[in-house]
Amino acid sequence: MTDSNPTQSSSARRSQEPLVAPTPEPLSFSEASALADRVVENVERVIVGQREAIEDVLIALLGRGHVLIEDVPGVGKTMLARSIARSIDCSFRRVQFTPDLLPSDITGANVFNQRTREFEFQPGPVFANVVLGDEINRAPPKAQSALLEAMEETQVTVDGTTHPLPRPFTVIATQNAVEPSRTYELPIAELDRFMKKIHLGYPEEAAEIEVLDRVVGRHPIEGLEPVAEAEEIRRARESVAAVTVKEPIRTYATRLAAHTREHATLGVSPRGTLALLRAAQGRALLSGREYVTPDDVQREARTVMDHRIVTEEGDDGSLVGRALETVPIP
Amino acid sequence: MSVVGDTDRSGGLLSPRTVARVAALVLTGSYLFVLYDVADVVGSSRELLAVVAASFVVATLAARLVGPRLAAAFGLVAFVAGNLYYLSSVPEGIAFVLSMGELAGDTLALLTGLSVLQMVAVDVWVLAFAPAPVFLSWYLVLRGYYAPGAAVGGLALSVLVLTGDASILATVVGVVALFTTVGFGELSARGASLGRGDAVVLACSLMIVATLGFSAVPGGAAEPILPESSPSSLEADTVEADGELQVSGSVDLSPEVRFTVESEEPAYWRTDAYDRYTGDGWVQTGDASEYDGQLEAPEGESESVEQRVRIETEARTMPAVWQPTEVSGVDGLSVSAEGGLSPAEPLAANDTYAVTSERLDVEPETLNDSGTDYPDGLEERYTQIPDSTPDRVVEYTDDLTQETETPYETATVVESHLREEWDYSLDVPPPEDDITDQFLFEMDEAYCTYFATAMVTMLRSQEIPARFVVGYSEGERVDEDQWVVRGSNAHAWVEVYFPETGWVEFEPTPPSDREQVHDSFVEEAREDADTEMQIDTDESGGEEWTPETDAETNETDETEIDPGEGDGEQVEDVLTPDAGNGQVDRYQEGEVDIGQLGDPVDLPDEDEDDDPTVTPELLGLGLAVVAGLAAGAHRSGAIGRTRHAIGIRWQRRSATPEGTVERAYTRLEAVLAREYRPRRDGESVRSYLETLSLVGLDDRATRVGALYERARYGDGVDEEEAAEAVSLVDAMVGERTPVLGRFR
Repeated sequence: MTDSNPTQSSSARRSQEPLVAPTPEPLSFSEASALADRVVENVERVIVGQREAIEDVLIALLGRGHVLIEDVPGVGKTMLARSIARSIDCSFRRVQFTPDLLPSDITGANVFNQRTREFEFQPGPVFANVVLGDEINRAPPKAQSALLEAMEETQVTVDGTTHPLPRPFTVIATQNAVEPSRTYELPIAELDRFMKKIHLGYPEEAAEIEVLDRVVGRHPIEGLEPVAEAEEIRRARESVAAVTVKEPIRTYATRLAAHTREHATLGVSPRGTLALLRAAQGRALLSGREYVTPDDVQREARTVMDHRIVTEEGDDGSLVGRALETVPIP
Repeated sequence: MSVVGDTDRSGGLLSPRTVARVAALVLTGSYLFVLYDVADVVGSSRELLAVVAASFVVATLAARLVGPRLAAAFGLVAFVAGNLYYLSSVPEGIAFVLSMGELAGDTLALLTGLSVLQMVAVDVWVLAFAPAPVFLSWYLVLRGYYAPGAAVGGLALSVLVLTGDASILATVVGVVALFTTVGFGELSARGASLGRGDAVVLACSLMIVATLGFSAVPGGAAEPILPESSPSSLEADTVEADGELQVSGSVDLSPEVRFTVESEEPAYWRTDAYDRYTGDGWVQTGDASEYDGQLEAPEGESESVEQRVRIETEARTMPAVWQPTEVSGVDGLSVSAEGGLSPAEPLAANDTYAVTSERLDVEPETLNDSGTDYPDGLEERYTQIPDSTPDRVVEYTDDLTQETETPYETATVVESHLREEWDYSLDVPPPEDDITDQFLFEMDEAYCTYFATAMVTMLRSQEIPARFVVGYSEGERVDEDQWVVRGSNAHAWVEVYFPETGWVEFEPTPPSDREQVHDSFVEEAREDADTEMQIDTDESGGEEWTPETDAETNETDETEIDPGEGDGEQVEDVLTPDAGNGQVDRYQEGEVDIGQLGDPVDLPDEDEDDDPTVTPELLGLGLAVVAGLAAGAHRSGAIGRTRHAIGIRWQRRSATPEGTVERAYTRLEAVLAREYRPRRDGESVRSYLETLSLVGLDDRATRVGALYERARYGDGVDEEEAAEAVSLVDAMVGERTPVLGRFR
């Protein structure tokens, strides 16, 4: 990675410390595990009845991945992203994707400074630790691809100059499941870049009442205190990467992917297999385990693999389910 | 070949068809073997072989050329024609056919255990019987009708089994071959592979073991083939043999009193005689006739002897001096073809009867001059010896009698030769192929059955009519005209026919040796106060009555024994209770093993009896067991299951603690799979155990599951945890498999 020229972020909280440090020291396993628990609990104070989703997002965050949330409007997608960003005390930006959105609206642009008589790079909203790309399928492919490049490369190139993004960097994109006629469906190759695609769904009745109770008056997000430093998250990411994945688990993930390839027009790519293992590592950490078990893989398989598969009839997710039932666990 | 019911066209060397055909041949062989034995005895073995070979050839040709109906008709015609031929050869055969009642009675007698050897014209019968089943069964098998072919063979075999002529071995081999034919024939018809025959092998093996191991059929040849421990008694082997006499090696004697005789002079008390020598025993042919008040007297000079016999223990035979002419005191008397008397109902104790006999009193010169002008049929009947009699028996006799000129000289030379050259002993090796051959060339001592058999065979080899006689020797003389006869007096001797004289008795057994052995243990038995058996009558047991002497006699002295020979000393030894060998205890069993009485050094055979001998039958039994077990294991997959069950129960050591834990878990899963359900393909260990814990699985399993997970997917386990997993699994497996053999 070429970060000889660390760039200052123009996020809301201006920090003097470099955004990109050399590989940080990993947290000890127990610290990392405790950190994850703290974050989840903290976010739960705002988001009611969505523990699964919170964990999914956190796993993506810790596994250097991004999340696509597909759901109807108004179920708390944005609130989830904001709560997580706030809990870990890091920068958060939101980009509302619209049909007229330009790539530079995401990445930022070189702007002529009258005083210095020079072009100066004005970072876009993508320069944040947590970026919420709202209704990503409403923008035309060109704008989408600007975000997707940032996701893949963790850097932005404007006018030939590469600007690294802050770490950690996680995109939480949402996709509107209604109004399919006025959207630009994400190409499958780009969907592949999301580690997970999740659904929030409507809260249960009790949970919804709870939400109303909390939100009426002062919104709880206002009082949400950070429970982790951004630096801690970066170190926790190293801890997740260190979670043991033994040979039988690798074999299992590979066989699951192979099964989807055999039974679908387009199956899970090696990138998908890698994402599956990373997600499983995160899941193991959340479970307080230093090694991945087949259960971790199975639990992550649907959210990691479903959106990477194209079947002739249109995949309803049953293929991964069948793979989980039939592929023997080594 | 036009194979009809057979779809197996591969015809390879080891196809079911080959096995079925070979088995069919074995089945045919099993009853032909029995028939050949019979033919051998009566001297028609060559003819039988020719007839059988012809039948095979005709059957093979017919299988190619002729349809089943025609073949069946041909077989039936052959059968009927053979039987007609047989009946026509029997004296008064045609009249016999007409009296269907007698025919039925005769058939019934045959099928209830009367040996075919007791048929007079059995040589013809064998030739008549053999072709039909051989032809039909081989024809059917070649045509692919295995079951009907086997049924025909089985029918032929079962006839011989019912007559008691088929030995256990032949029967078992035949039956096994029958089932193998049907089983593999069926496989062949369905085009199955040889490996599917395991069920047939298993069934056959079970049959063999069941038949050889446990015999439930009493009498006849149906004795367990496994080694027997207790020897037969001499009396049972001679006097009590009913029409068929088998020589059974070592024998015991019974000291019990059978009857007492009042007679003017001592004699052998004859009960019956045998005419047909089978190589390992004797058979009496011909039918008994009813006593009509008078019996034929001998042609030669004779004197009358009056006897009164009182029975002391139940008897089926009526001893009498040869040659009885008049009998009174018993109703429903019948006379055997060889002149033996027998009552319709067994005689009870204290029954008495009187016999008048004409005892031959001819000068040796008369016998010497009597020539060889034998009546019709007599020579053929009484000079029969089996075809298989070894040549050396004949050569030996030829050498011995080359100087003799008349039958009488020959008889006396043979008689004295046997008496002089052989010693007397009741303890002999078990009989082998030919008793005479064994006696002449392999034995130094034997008892009367061997001596008499050898003498008859030797005389017959010289074309001198002779027969084998059984009965009792004189017994103990208790008064001037009174004799007490015991079971131990059972005896066998020889009668030789002389034209114009009749049947003359000869005694090839050395008498003094014999009486010494027999009498000495009667004395022994007397000493045993506990015996419940009647050893003495009122008259016997005191001093033996001896004519013309006042000298004191010791307990064992007999008129025939020369006291100077020092034999008395040996007897004295035996009589001393301190002499050891445990004789006193043996008497309580009621029968005495004579072999124990003499000097132990002289009895090497005694030790051999204790050795477990591996006979061919035992070996076959063992092989059958092994084959059956192997086939059964193959059939049921028991090998894999056993290994599986053992694997669950006992864990092999593993190199690493991780390996140990994984094996422990595998064992656990095996019992859980049996108790609940197997783990599904895509089901993780954790979710499997969690599911089962909902229906009652305890925490130990969860703990083992966690250890397994860590061992397999995590950073490993240590020895202590491995041991923990093993002990947890041991406990759980132990609770779930109380009996190791609980195979699913």
